[in-house]
Amino acid sequence: MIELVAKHLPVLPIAIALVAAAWCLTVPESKTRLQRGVAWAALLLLLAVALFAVNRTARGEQFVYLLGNWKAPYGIALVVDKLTAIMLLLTTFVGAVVFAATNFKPADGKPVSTGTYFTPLFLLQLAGLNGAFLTADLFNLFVFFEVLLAASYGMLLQHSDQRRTNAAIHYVVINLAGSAIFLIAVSLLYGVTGTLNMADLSQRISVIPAHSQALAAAAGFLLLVVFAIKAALLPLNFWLTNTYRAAVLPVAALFALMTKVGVVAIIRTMTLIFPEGGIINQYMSQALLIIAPLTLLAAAAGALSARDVRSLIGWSVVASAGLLVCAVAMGGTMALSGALFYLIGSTLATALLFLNTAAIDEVGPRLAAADTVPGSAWAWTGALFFIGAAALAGLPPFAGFIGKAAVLAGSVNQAWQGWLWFAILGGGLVSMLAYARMGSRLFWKRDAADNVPAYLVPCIAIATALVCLTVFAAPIQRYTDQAAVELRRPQAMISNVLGKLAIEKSATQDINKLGAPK
Amino acid sequence: MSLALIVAMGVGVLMACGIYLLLRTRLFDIVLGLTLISYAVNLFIFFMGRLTVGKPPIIAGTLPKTLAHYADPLPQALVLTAIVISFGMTAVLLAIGVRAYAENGHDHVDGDQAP
Repeated sequence: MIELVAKHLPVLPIAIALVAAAWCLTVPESKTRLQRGVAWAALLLLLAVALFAVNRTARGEQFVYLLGNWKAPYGIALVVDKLTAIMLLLTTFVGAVVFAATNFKPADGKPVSTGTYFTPLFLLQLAGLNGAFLTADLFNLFVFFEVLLAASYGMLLQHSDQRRTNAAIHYVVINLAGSAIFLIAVSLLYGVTGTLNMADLSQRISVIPAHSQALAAAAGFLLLVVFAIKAALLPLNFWLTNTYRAAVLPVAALFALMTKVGVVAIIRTMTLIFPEGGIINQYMSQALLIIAPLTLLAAAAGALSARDVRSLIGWSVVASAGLLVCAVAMGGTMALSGALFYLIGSTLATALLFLNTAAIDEVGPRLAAADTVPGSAWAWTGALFFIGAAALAGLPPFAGFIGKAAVLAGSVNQAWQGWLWFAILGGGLVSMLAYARMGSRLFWKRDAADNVPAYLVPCIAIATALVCLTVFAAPIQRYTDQAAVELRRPQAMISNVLGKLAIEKSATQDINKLGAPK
Repeated sequence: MSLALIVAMGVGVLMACGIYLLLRTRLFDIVLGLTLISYAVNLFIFFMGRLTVGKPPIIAGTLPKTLAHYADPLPQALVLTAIVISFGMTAVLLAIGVRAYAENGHDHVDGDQAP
């Protein structure tokens, strides 16, 4: 059994979510309980698979899966390495918590409204996210991006009123334009190198003839532009705050993962496709070392100007993407490891803040009339807000601090050190101020009795995970260190992918015999 | 004029028109612009497999098995995928656009001001 799971490990996170989504569509919308049961079963399976992946990759294993049994550069390959395993676990955990939050029933019996077809859309979103983390094929990455975007369009448009529809238009249009650029980059790389497999691309770009060098660099930078749209880096971040403000709150918590897809794609671009040491990688990191700190500073300014909690959290998402890309552009083992650690912490903190805001904003006023709410629940909400804000801003006891410290330590003796420290520390300080101001406005000027422990259990689950991230920082950091080393030495992955043999089976040969027209 | 030049100009003109329309403030123009851009992109993908005339994409017969005698089939498969996806996404965008028109009374992209 274990062997069978290990053999098919890379395809399971996609397959489970897709099958469950399809199954949910066949269940009539009125049978909510059955739909949720299916979704929970899928989530538990996904969680088990993700834990298994983390456990096995911690021992230094890598899993390569050839879809359709086509050998590597010709077919699509899926790869599970440490970075993928981290992202799978993080996605599934945040997904499960968000789903639990949507199942929550407040005291007046009306469940939190997420709209029709939420469950299948949610599962499709998970399938798209998992696929985008797993795939080692550039065109397949495009397809999975579209899958997760399509699901997110659907979820964003739930209960659409005028404001939501207008926000959705901007979101859909910028992502369609991004897809067009992505396709141009992918086909340009194919035209220059004749391959779409990331491992194969990595090898061929290093031996590319001089007259094609400029084309490959252009394609690489186009890829960066696309991923920068997804990750919301500076000139391309203006879609984010509006979209996150318009989304239903549990959905916004799920969207916290979507910018991280862009960051992970940038990591793959700068470590695998254009690996360290190449001239194109140098150009890219120089460009990103200017853009990413500027993103941090702009996000800090945005956070100060934010008038409501949702915009504030939206700007923090931009800031965390800026910090992550700073670290990736620096590119040392320490900085990368710190980035991965901060990635986990900031995603959890963002999800926590969004869910907590749901407790503040959505359910509170509706139950204000009931007036049976103890003030202690309000205190819980305030405490959770504080934990999330502190973790995002990078205050010492919380997880964000450890990642940030590692990133800062990784930037010592870099040419850009002063600029980076100014942006990272200044951005952190300003975002802390913004959160302190928002917190005092929210929690001191409101009646203690107008809130409920809505979403309290899922929020506490995430907060516990955040605290665990600090308590178990040593083993987790050891794991992210190994992941960073693995990312910086892509040779092992390249030889694993390209050396993976297709399975020889009598059954496939029989089918070939039957199918061949002679 | 060579074939490659004509093709490159075609892609360029489609792209330029698409970008012009994309930057306008009316949603209808934007949808048209995105459609033109996706045409340009599809052509671009197609031609990244090199321009060939009258060559089969599938290995058959006695021709030597090199790309000099065959058309590259992979970009054709990619184009099919890209067409399907852009078709679906355009449909979604149109649906949202109709909805926005119904709610706003006009199709300005920012919704809150008349065109």
